[in-house]
Amino acid sequence: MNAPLAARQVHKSWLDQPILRGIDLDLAPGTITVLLGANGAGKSTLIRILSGELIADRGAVKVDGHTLGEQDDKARAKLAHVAQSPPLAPFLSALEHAEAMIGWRGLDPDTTLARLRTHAEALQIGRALARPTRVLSGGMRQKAALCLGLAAQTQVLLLDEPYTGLDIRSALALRQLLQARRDEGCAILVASHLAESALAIADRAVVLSRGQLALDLDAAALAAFNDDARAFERAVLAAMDRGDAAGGE
Amino acid sequence: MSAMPAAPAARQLDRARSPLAVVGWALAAGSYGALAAWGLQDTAPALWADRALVLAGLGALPAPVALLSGLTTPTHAVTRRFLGQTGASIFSDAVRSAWLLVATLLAVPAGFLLASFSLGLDAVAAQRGAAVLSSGVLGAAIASMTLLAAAMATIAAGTQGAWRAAAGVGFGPPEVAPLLYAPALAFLAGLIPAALLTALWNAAPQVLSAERAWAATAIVLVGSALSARRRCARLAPQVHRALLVIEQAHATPFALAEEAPQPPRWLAAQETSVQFLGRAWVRRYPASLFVSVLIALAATLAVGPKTAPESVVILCFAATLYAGTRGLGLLLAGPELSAAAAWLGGRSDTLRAAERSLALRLTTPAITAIAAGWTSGAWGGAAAGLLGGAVTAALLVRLGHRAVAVWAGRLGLAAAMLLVAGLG
Repeated sequence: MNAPLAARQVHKSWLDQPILRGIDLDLAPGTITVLLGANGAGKSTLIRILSGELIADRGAVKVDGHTLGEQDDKARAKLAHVAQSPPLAPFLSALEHAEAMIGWRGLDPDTTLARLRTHAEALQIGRALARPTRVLSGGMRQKAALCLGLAAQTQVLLLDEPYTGLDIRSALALRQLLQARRDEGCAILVASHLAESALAIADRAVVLSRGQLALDLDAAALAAFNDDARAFERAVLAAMDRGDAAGGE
Repeated sequence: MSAMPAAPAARQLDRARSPLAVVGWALAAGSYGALAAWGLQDTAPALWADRALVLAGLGALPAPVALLSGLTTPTHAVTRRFLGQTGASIFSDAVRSAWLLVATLLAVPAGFLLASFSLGLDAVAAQRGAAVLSSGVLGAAIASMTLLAAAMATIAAGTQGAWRAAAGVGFGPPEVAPLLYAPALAFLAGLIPAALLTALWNAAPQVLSAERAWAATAIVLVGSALSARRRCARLAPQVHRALLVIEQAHATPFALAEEAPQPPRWLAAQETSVQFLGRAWVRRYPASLFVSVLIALAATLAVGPKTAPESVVILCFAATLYAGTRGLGLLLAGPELSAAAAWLGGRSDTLRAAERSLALRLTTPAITAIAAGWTSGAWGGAAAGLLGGAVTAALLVRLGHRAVAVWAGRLGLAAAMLLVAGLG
């Protein structure tokens, strides 16, 4: 496994109900992979397992060659994960979160803080960086967490529904920021249920249905859609239907 | 802005105020007076003066405490209503008729004297006691209004940087920071006349006859009330402006809300995990210092320390309580801090080491208490030891581990009881 992140045969069940059934997924460096799926398809569960926040029932996840659960500290140091509800400490500001992150991850303070400020300006929360996160709105907290995740300069970046709650300008800015991180060699996985925004950013798209990957489209396959979001949506829906039919058998 | 109109909220309240509210307030004040007399019944006459001051202090607590809790945390609609209505009402009363003050002025000594006569207390001592109670309770109320008006004037003029820094995080917009300390100062300042009367009662009881006690009380209270009334009337435009500033500050959108204050210097020099935990620790309950000082004051009045070690124990008790409340804040914030730290790359072992580091700093008062308590007797030593153990346990507890916190609380309670029993 040479990929920055490689998952093999990941299984997870809740109350005997299978959520993930043998997921194999490699994230290549310098690519943005979009993970699509219906609500409840298991996207967030998969992202949490890939980040080390949840432990799989079976299977293994390696980050830069370090297995999550066995070499947890080394593996988790290589990735950043921004969840839908990021766990920000309410009485600390985003800047103070960044200072802690710098200390714990051994990052260069000047570079990291400069990146944080640049990202924050792009997402229009520059003035909110010094304020305790508890006084920020939900959307601003999400943006602050995204800025921190992007500034962490990790090899792997996992984002769960990052466009939720963002206005149009911020969504466009986030797209540019993600593309910039990709160009730096970061392997990015974005969970989303919006096919149109996925097509705009993805180098690769995978569709999760009934706990399995029902569709895997590389850059060439995505280019074939020629920015036709409707056609892409139809392909995704067809894959979900196939997954549902297979799961129901 | 030379002639501002009177606050609309105050005018509305004047119309809305029910006579029943005044009667109810008077009944409550009278009941307090009666309870105070009952509290003196089993006290040795030699201790009446000190006990009367303690009772006056207890009676003086509600006004500034209500202001502290109500005016400094208006982060939700209920408290905003409190600020807009009760706050305006207090000024309205102070500037105009002050019916509640009059009711208190009459009801506290009336309730006390009626109860003391029925309980058969010495008549002269009862009148001295009533004078101490009245001056304490009303002194605190008058001082609260005066200092609150001054704080509002500061807000109206534009809160300066030092005040903004003092506000910390968790008490609403920095614009209202001057309101934070006004109640505490008012409590202390308001008790000064009562303390002077008590000192005179202790030092030269023959000088403080019943007539002189009443005369001194009347002079102090009437003088203070007139002064407060004049000052509040003069500040009415600023008060009105401050209410608008406060209302606007609370309506400020998220994007313009407060900034996190700089952490204390000693904390800025620590390693990452200590800084991370410490910042949350010092910000979560920034008012606990006031509470600790208040408890130390109450303990001092109640216990009446006779020796230096006893005083040190009480001081350490307050300091330890301060550290403990901060520790409790950290404990309550434990799960969210753990999650945030893990997300940012923190490791559980470094976080535990940080907890130990913070604990060592904050248990210093407890360790001092052990030493001081030991020299003041076995009871004090045992209490201080338990207290130290409780605080250490509370501070060393792993984040979110509530069972240990419960035991720490039990030990602390036992320690406090032993401390009072041993010193009292």
